Amino acid sequence: MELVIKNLHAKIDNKEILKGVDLTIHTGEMHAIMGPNGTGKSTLSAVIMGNPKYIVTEGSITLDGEDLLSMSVDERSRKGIFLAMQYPNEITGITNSDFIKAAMQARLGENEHVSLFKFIKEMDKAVKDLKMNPDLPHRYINEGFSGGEKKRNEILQMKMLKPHFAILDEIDSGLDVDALKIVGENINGMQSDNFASLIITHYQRLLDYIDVSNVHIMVNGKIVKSGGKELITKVDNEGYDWIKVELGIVDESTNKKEAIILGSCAVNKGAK
Amino acid sequence: MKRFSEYREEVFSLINDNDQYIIFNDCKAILNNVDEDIIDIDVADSFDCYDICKRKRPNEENEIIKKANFTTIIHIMRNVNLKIIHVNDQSEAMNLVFDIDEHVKANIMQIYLRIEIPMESVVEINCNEHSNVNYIQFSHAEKEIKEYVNQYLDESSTLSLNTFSFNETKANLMYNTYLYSEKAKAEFCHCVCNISNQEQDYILNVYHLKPYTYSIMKNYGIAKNSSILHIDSNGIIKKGCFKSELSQKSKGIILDLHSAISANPLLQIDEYDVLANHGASIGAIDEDDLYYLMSRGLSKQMSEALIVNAFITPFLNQIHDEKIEMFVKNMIDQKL
Repeated sequence: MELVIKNLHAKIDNKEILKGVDLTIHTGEMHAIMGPNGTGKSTLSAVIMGNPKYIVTEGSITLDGEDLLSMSVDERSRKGIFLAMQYPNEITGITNSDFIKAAMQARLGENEHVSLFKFIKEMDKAVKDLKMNPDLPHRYINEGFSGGEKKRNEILQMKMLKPHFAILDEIDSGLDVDALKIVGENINGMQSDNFASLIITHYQRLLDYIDVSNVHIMVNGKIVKSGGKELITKVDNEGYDWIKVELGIVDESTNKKEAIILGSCAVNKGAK
Repeated sequence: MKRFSEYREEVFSLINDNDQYIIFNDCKAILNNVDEDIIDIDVADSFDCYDICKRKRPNEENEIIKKANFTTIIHIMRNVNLKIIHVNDQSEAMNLVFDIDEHVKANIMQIYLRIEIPMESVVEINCNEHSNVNYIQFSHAEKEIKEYVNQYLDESSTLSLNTFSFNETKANLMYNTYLYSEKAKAEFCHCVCNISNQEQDYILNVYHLKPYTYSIMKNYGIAKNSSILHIDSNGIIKKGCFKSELSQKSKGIILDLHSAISANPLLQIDEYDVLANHGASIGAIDEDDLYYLMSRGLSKQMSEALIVNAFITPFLNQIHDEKIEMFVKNMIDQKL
């Protein structure tokens, strides 16, 4: 399968964030996107998933030739797109197991049903693989979870739902060193001819555990450089300034910073 | 008027073989399966002798008491699980008193299964010293319902009150809780679903009348079909009731443009050395929650159903009876 993004432009609140993203991912590949803050990495992941807050103004995303942008969020998911979110929601009253079972059921035909035995077995294994608390299936979605637990819960859902294209939006934030290793190994363990991932990260440390095939650097709403693992090492050693210099990019986010007057607490009107 | 035989099958579909139960038809206890050493069912003319706090009843309550003419008293003497089912298509008023003895643990589940005539009732729950009462009430009325539920908690007694009101009509319900002795403890979970296209009022009052008393209240409201729901919760801590704790939280979810919910949590605190807090949040279904669920492949309709069900989950979690749980879940699925 292939996911093709062409000249993608997107905005939020009338501010253009993506300014012509081109990217092609095939199943069997592991892609990483790196880049400074505010360059549109998370926006790209949200637009692929179909977050209604973002408006696509130009360009296309296709999944095996089908127009992904015309599909609803749930249709995209059932087609095999998965987004592990940077800030997963807490939803009181819905247990993880009910939620995941319902999501698995949504992928089946009308007369098919999730086998309870198989579900419990798979869920138990995934919980063990991620070294999570065994009571997790009975807890409400992300309620009272630590930052690290929430991220592991995203990976747990990914393992259970078995998507073809998983976008992992800063899945390493909030993870300690041990958890980072567990999450990295579990993502790596998903590698197959039917699976591809797009890993969004700032740092090299997660990529130490994942066998990445393609690395992209995003600046100012565009992918400006693509290559192999050597890019990770270079970014880790030198940051992003070299690429801006090499490609003559002016960082818009820093260039636009200007002092503003916030107002005053009191006004001296002078003596009358 | 329907004969009870017309309801019989539906009523008994909710009863398990070993249940101790009482069935009320037209506000009278007509059938029961209770151990007489554990539960005594009596009918009395007077009512006020059961008002432990000797409070002045409001006129509306007195009118219902008068209208009902008699009072059914359920005296619980030993630990028990008791199920009570009401069907009503004729009688307009009911007085019912639960009197739970000292040190007794009672699980009472009261189901208003079919209310096919406008009905008014006064229910009193007397929790004597060191008693532990878990009271669950599910109410499904097709005609207007007005209910007063008064609870009196003696020293070191505990009451867990869990209610789910799914009334398809105008409704006025008032819950008054009197913590009249030290170390009395009350926990409430009220779920209200208004799909009636009419206005419903729920007033929930908790009175801390002695020191070291504790109450926590969680209210969940759902409004659909251009319905209006008012949930007013009042927490009152009287002077001298030091070291008391009181918490009230209300959450409301509005499922269409023409429905509305108002939640007014009020605290009246007349003592310094207490812990008290309250809060309320009302809104439509959270768009971010919806997006999160849909991003896992659930349709918008399914996601909304899950979120709405999540509101009722705190009540469902308290039902440890498969038949009743299925009955409530099926009704929610059908009506919501």
